[in-house]
Amino acid sequence: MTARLRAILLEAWLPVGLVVLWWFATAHSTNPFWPPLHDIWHTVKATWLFDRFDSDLVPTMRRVLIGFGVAVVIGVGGGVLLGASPLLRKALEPTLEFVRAAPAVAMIPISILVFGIDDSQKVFVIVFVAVWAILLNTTEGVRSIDPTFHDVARVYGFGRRERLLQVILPAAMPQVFAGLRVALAQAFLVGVVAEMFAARNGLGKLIRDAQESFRVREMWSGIIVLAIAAYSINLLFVVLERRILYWHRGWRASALGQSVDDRRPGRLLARLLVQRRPRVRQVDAVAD
Amino acid sequence: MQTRQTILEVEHLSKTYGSGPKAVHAVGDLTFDVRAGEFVVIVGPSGCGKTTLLKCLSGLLPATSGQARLEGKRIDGPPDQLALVFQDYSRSLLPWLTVRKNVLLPLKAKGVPRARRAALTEEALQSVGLRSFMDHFPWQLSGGMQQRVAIARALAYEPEILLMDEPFASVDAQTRADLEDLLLRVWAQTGLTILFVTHDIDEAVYLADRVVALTPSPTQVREEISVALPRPRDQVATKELPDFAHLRAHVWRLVKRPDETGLAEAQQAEPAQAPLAS
Amino acid sequence: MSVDAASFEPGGAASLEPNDAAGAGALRRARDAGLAVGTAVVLLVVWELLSRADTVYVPRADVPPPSDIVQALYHQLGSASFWSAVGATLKGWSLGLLLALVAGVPLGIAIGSSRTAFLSTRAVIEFLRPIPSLTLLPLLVLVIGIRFNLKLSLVALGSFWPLLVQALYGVQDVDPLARDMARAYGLSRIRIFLQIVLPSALPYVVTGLRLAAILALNIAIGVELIVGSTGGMGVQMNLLQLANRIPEMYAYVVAAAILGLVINAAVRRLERRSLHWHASQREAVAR
Repeated sequence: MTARLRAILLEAWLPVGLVVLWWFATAHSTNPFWPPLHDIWHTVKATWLFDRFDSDLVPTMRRVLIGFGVAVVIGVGGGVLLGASPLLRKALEPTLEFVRAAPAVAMIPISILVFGIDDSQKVFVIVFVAVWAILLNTTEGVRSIDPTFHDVARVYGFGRRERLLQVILPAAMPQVFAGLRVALAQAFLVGVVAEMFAARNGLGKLIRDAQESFRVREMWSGIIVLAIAAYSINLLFVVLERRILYWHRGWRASALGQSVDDRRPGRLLARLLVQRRPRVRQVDAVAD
Repeated sequence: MQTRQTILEVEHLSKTYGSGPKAVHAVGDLTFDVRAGEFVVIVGPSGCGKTTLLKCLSGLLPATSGQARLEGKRIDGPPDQLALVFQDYSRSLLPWLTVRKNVLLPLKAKGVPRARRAALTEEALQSVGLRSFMDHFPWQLSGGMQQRVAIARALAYEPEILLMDEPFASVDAQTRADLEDLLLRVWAQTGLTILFVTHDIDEAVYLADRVVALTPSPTQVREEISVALPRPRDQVATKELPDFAHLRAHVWRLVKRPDETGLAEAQQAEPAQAPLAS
Repeated sequence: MSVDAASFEPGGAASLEPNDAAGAGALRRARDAGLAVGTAVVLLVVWELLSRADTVYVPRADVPPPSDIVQALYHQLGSASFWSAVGATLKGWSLGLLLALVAGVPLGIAIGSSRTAFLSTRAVIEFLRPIPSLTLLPLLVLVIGIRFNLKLSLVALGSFWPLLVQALYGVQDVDPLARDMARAYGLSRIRIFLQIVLPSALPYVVTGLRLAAILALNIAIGVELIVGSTGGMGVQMNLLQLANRIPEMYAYVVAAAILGLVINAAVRRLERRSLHWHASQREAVAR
């Protein structure tokens, strides 16, 4: 058995096993809360492909993505400003810390007061929740840029634009992405919960409605779709992060004296199936 | 010798951090000149403020008093005609850019037209022997190669004067020898003016036209020594010469054993902050 | 790889200028505090004025002025129902957190210690982890009903993941050099575990605790808000909003924010202590 196959099996046996277990354990279930997985699967296919997909999944995703997008713009923009100016930081940080500490879900009733229950309310709550992680991480990322980079920019006469686009943003990017990751999860959470609380459509609303009307299979189907959606968003993000921060991994490894893995992240599937390319070893070439 | 034009004038430069009893006098009172096309090496004991000096000369730090002038103009911020090679290559080369882009970017910032940019980049990388690595990332290369990229970046910038802050301190001895020779070749080809800072005395004598020996902190010029060894220098032949040994010994004593050379009396005139090195 | 704002990356500005004397430092801190307070006051004043102006965009009924909110909060602090609500929230929060701690940390350590276990469970963890626990609320309402256990379970479920994952990373991130060195000195596996692995993982676990603590508060209040389960701050918020007592509702939100800050500060203190101990422990081992 090749090493590759063994690796795949090792990672797959538990998840596959659990699903199989679930399938057979509930196969003849009469418990109203744990219907047979078989039935749930049918419900998933029936409701979500492609009926409710448009009417519920898409709105949820749309609101989450818009909210996240706005949060990114505000968070990164504000973070760059705060990171660059110690004065602004000192003035604003305590206030921001306080507002941030307010529990995200508590914003939901407040937002409904102000916005009603349409899309803008949801987006507002999502932005309000997601912006903190981005803002704080961007601030930290900009603040803690290695001063040597700044020195290089000054010595070689970089203008303001160059400084921002070519030095500050790339240098802060790893930290920014850490924040983006957290913010995305939060955006998704709050988006769905807000829908559970009050909404006209959406994944959260569907799950809640199903529960209140005891349509258990439909509820389960919603939960499963929710899980898949959450997982997919996360996965897409990780793939994106790997691509964009490719240089950072290599740089860190090299600076720490570790072996440098500089395989460019190709497409996920291709990477899973195709043999790995040989690594570029660190070369110490003689001068031409 | 023909009198060459003075490019860099340093007059009573001093730099003090902080104030009051805890003030650190990094640079005491420095005065020296650098002429066009010269290779001047500054050498001094560890911690004597060499890096601070370079930061002041490159305009990154303002001096506390005194001034430096580049081609007659006072150095207030980083001048256009000055390039600096930093000690830590892993942090001076931008890791998110390829080697080519690293060399290209300062030229773009300078407003050099596209075709010329590309040409300068290629030439510079060619002269340090890294043309075939243009599309690699710096961290994919070894330490010596990365420092060569940093040198190429400085060369492409076409400065009047090149400052180098202990550039070979972080590489192994053999690579260092290669880099020293590379630098000398490039210098001979381009006629650049180089101000090189190091703590390695052998390196200083090997490379220099003139060695400026510094005192411990607060730094002053102890002595300027003319190095009249024949060029082109050679790692073996030059270091075999008796003159090399004499010069090296002289500088060594100046830097490492200042009391042996009568430094004690000279220092007593100043309110010394640092203990005398022995 | 920690999921934290201050992560362990290269960088970190080293100050060129050495610090001033102690006196100047205290003055500077006072000035900074003044700046921060001043800014906050300015923002509050702006809010107050905007709210009182009662425009269409900022209607006073929906966004009361800070003065009203502070007044409402002050009243609440004297009322028994407020404190019982806070107590109810904290009860669910603390017990759920405890449950998650007891379940998640040992499990995380166990998984992190074994490469096989790690690889086997990786897919399951990565799949289950992003599911927000509050979104499972409807399911648990069916299964458990609207009782205290509902809040408890959701808090525990939600806090479980950060604790598990951080404990896992903590164990994995043990300096292999320290471990090799210990083995070379012939320390038994148990001793290696107790004296090197655990202390090294401690800061990660405490970071996980901080993340979990805030998450737990969010979940507890969230449950209370949505289903009104057995009292708590969220329930009050909901009731007050329905009764159109808006300033009081805001007061609860502010109280929740203060609670969050207090918890955050307390855990951060713990974090610093553990990191300090961890650093000194590392020195001890190195010696």
